[in-house]
Amino acid sequence: MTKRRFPIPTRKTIPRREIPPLVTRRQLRRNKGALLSLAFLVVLTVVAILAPTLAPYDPLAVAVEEQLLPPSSNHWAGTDLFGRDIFSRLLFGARVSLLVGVVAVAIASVPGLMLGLIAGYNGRWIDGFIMRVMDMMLAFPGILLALSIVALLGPCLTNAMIAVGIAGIPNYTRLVRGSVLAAKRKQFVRAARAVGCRGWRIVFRHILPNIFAPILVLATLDLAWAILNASSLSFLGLGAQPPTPEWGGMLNEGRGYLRQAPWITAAPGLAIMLTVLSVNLLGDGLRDALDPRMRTRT
Amino acid sequence: MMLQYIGRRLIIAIPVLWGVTTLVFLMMHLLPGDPAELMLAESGGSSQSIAQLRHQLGLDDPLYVQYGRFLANALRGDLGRSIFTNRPVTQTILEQLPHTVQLAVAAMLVAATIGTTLGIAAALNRNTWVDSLCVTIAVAGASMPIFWSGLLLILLFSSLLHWLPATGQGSLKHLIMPAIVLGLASSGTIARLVRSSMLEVLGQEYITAARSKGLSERLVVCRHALKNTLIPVITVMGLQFGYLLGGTVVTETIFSRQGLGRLVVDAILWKDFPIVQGTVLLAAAVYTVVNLLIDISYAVIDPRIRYD
Amino acid sequence: MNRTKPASLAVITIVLVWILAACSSAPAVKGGKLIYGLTLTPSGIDPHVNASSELGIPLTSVYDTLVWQDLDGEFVPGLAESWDVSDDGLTYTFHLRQDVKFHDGTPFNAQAVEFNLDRIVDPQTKSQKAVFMLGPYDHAEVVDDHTIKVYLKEPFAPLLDSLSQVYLGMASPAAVEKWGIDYQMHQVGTGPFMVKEYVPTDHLTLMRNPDYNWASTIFGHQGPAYLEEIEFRFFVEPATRVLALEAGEAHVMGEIPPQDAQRLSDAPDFQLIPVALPGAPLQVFLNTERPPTDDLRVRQALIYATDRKAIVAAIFKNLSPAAYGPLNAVTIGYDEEVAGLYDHDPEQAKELLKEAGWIDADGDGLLEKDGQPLRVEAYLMGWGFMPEVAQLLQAQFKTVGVEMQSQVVAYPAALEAAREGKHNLIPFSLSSSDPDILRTFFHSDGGFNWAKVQDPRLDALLEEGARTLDPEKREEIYAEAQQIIMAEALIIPIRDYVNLNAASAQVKGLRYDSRGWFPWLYDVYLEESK
Repeated sequence: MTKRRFPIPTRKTIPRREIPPLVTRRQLRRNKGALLSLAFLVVLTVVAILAPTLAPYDPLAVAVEEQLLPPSSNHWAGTDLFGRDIFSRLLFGARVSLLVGVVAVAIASVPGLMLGLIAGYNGRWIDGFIMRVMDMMLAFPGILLALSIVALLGPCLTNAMIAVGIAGIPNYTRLVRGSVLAAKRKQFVRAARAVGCRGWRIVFRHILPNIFAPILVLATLDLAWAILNASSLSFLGLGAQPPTPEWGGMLNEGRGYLRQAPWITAAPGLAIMLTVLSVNLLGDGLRDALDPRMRTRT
Repeated sequence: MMLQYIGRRLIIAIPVLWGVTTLVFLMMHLLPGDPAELMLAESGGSSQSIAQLRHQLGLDDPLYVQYGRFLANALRGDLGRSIFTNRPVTQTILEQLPHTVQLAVAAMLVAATIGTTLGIAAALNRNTWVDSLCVTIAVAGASMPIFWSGLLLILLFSSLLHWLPATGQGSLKHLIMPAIVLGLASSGTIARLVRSSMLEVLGQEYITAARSKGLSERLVVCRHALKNTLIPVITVMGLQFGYLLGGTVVTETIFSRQGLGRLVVDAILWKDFPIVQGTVLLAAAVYTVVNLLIDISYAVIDPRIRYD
Repeated sequence: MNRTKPASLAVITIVLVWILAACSSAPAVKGGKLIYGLTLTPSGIDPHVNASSELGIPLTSVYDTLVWQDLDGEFVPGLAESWDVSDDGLTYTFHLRQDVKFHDGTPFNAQAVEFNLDRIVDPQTKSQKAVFMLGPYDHAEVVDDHTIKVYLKEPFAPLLDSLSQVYLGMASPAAVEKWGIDYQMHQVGTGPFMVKEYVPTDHLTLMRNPDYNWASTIFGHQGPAYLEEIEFRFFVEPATRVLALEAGEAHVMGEIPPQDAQRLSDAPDFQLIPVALPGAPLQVFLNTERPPTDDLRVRQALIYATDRKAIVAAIFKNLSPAAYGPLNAVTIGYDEEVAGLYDHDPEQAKELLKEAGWIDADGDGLLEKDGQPLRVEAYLMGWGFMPEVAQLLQAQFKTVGVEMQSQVVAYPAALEAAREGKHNLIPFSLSSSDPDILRTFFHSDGGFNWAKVQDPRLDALLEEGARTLDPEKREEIYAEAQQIIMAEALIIPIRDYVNLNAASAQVKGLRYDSRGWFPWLYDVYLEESK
């Protein structure tokens, strides 16, 4: 190998304009919906963390004499079949839903990212193999896949998290792979390769920062999806087990009392909707801010 | 060249189908529970009679034998008989398929109508309060858990107003609420896509040209913009169909409708292997075909993508 | 001629109708179509093969049985006019009616009975319930066209009870042979209704058998049934069942949730028909082989800690009585003495736990012993209000320091877990008109022996109970068995099963048989709506 006699281009010398700016404050400020959502989610997270202090009642405290009470000053969201305070259960349920969502996204994104990088960068048969496996997973409607995994592992919250997470992997893999392929064609990567930068270095230094934006957007939207899916599983009885307060499970418990006590279903349903809505709006805002012309296939 | 592309994709589809069925086969056998025990449970059958029934059902053959038997039969078009009802799987699936398709198509129509309307309204009034409102409504609809919106509609229209039936199928009245519930969830994505697609189209030069010719706004939108807006949207709707099929599971449960969703969920929980295997095979085949059609349409529309 | 004929025909018709109307003794209205709401189980509907109670509801009207059981528990003639039992209890001779025909026109005779019994015990049939109901059945022998002898290997007290159920109904041999494996789609019996069509998961339609003339004395009339058609539809969701009834989508609906029952009972357009079911109540089995429930004192403490009156009030709205033993109070052989054995007594529970060595070392409200917390695992199935009951039990156990962890699993998974003994607690209920059901749950070889009991004393009693034909002696035997079961604290009884049926006020004459599940639709008619 002959000695190189010219300077080696490094990240610092490669033109910065190839790396798009993440988010400008002005752009986010324009999207009020996203800001509101962010605020709501921050408040929700704080409330979830502080639930033990904030909740007026023990969410597990059974008081059968007080069953099925409508919302009042004593019980802001009424009581359920066992006399438990629904408002307190909502607060604790926030913990469960947020935790499940975040963990599920982590379980989906990390392997998804790695698989996508490997598939996109290496190409050829390993690419084909990985994508076929992803196709196989996508051939199952998402909830069926999650359902099967939970039925396999046993119904409990942890397994619901894992199931929802695994069901989400293909989306990340596809996205990352697509972005990697697009990035591979760009000039600066070619340049880096031409001067002998090693594979992994290229990936981490050059490709990753470019695809960070779409991944963030996907992760946010996927968070909404994960929360919905996990509560669906609990609704079907396959997620959080009673008496754990979880919004989907609470909805399931209230199903038989729709007319006598509609607040049992109304409150957790509203909670799910507001949370998922906020996450969705935040994701939309991020997407608009990061690249208004960005198109994904999902 | 095109044929070659299609041919290649078809060939790739086969191992995917095979992989899916194998995966399902393995999973079903790993799930807890024993169908023979289940069938004899209520009568308190002894372990001897349970073992005998297992043998008769062919459940105590080694896994690879059962697998081979299933594959051989499937290739001949025989998907076996349900363990519990003892009726042919193909027949059972064909009985339930129309209901699910009916629901999915109706939901798709609802989603397309709501989504397109909101999306166009948003795009035409970009950055005004109309835009924000439409987008928020669309996303709110997509954020509502299906089981919640379903229960709410039942409470309102069945329990309180007595306008619509809460359960069953067979008439348009039975289809309205489930279709709305399921379609609403999908309309969010469509609305967002229509909006961004239309915004992009509206920014194109030929639109500006049409406007400068003096054509009315309505003509511009309807004749020129709409067509091109809808092309990518239609392809996305194809993918949404797969998501809708998943959504039918919860919808069919809430509204006590028949359909593949409920059939498969029950079959998974009760370990009715033949039904699960048959349905998943069908779903995978449909998914593969839909995917293939979408890829082909992409390749037709945009030659750059053709050889990825 | 052409003008007068229609006129005279009209006059004759009017006169005839008037005469008929005046002559009919009962105000029963002939005709009409009843819609009956069922739930849905993923099973077939061949009564010789499948085991679900759901199939029995429609098919009880399609098949007749050799004997019927009246509401007092006595056996009366059905397809058999009379029968004799040999002194050793091993041979039953049935003398059959001679005027009975199957829906397809073929005659009912002793050969048909033999065919049916052979079919049930044939391993190829894979019978899931009927064959077990025959017990120690050996073989049948045709004596002549209308006499048949049934031979048993051992005396079997529940035999007549089994023969009075739809699972041992008599099917047409010609139809079975013709349709083979698909017989369930084209069933042929001798009953007051015939199968018109069956669209799986959608509906099952029956139509009146115009030739029916051999109704048993337990029914209210003779001759063909009143209703012209009965359509059974499936309503899976408990929450929307009442909505369907109120909307007129069904005339009769079973398994109404207790919280909706009061509303229907109060409404003038509807009637509530609660039916107490005999058999095993909703009870929680305590696994005697798995700690901590392997300790008798712990088990007894759990029973003392249970406030079943609170459970019955909160969840079942007092529409079910509390259960006190392993049998529902309306079951034959129920021992009233078990009622006083365990009252709700949390103090007693705490005492027993302390005796057993469990103390609260760290003041967190939960008891420990040797560093192990007092924790019990419960496996619950998703139906029958088990999850709700479990949540209340959990709270009640907590007050005495026991922690209960539960998971709701699908039926097959629950069966598997129970078989493997992974549970400390598992609730269940099963209806049956004969106390022999105790053998299923508490005999060491029982299919549902979830308390994992291996008690030779109990085994002997339960076997003896099945063999003894004298009703009084049987009662004594079963009383002793119930006492032992409660003394050993094998179960926590919760509530007697009461099936809440509701019907539109138009439906008249609806009664349920002694099993509680199966309606006698032969006498039912629909009153004209006002």
